[in-house]
Amino acid sequence: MREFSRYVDRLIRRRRPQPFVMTAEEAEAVRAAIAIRAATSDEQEPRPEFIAGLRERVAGSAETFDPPRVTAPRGRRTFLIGTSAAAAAAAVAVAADRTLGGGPERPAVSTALDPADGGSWHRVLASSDLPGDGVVGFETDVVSGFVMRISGVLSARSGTCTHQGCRLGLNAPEKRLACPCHRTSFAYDGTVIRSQLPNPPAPLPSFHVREVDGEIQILLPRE
Amino acid sequence: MAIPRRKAEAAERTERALRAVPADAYASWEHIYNDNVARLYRLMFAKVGNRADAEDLTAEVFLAAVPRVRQAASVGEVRAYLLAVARTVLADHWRRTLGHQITTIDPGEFEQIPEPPAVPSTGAAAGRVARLLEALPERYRRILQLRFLENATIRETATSMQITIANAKVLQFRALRQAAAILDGEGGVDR
Repeated sequence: MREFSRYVDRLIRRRRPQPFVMTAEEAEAVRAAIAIRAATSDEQEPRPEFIAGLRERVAGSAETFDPPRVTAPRGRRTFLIGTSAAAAAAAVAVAADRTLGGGPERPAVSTALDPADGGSWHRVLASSDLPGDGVVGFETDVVSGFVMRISGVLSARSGTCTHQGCRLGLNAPEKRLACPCHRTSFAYDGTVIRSQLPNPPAPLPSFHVREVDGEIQILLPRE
Repeated sequence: MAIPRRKAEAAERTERALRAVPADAYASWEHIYNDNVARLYRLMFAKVGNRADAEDLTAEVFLAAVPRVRQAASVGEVRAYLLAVARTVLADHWRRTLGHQITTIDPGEFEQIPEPPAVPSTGAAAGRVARLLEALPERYRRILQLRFLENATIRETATSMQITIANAKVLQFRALRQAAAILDGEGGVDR
């Protein structure tokens, strides 16, 4: 109760609230506090200084606006400034870029980052999260994706759309990974099943995946 | 002097019209930024309720999204993309800080954020809060009014309501829980 009260207090006093470990009931109450505060606050409009300052920062990151890009290593470094959302999209895009070469003669299904390039194994799930056949989403600090066990065979694929980096959702009944942004969906093997785009996006990159000591791990580029 | 001013006004009108019905694609990242930054900030503010976090999350979205937008992308595609990034950024924020998804951004929500500056006291959100307070039992309404509308401290609130500070804290918590239940009943307001 003390931490909850402090959280609400800071919200009311226009200060950044402090994180704390909360119960589900407290989470509900915080949600109402935010709704009420947001609707009654005089800070609903952005400060002009904020808009100007952020414009400067975005200018620094926008040099690559044209043409379609994401080339390592510069782009990668830029994106890693952001937190996981940006970094996830970027890291996968870099992996895709390396493996696909970005050329017109894309392989039907892209291959993963080669372990010979260097990289390290990261735990993404416990084996018990995917005991039998199925598909489960995961995310690390830098990437998000899906691990599939199909007829007992394990594979892993990026969960970031190759078009504009939107996060894919799992449509288990239809066995596809669907992009919410442009009505595009991918088969579990990464190929495009359906797309409203004039030029369908590239297939989804895969990750090297292995199962060791009750863990499912994927290979990620070393930082 | 009258003529140039009229010209300037006409140009401004044209510009406004162009912004209201945007061309098929943004000419530069600056157009993307100028056209969307206030909207995105308002959206984030509605989700977190404080300026510091709203500014940080808005910045995060633009810094992540702008370098990845194709120049040929249409306005609708750019907005859809910004919204998708915003959803992930907000979800990450809650995961990092409270471990519960306190609020989320719904698909299409971006377009509902009004273009002209919203006037807080007459905005739709303010009306919803007024209705919300009305729906609460007297003591719950009173404590939320004191705290959120009159910015009373918990001590002042306790004095005003003739209860102890500890009881004021409990009452505030219960009032907010009931408010949350009402908001949920309305169909996920501000979730």
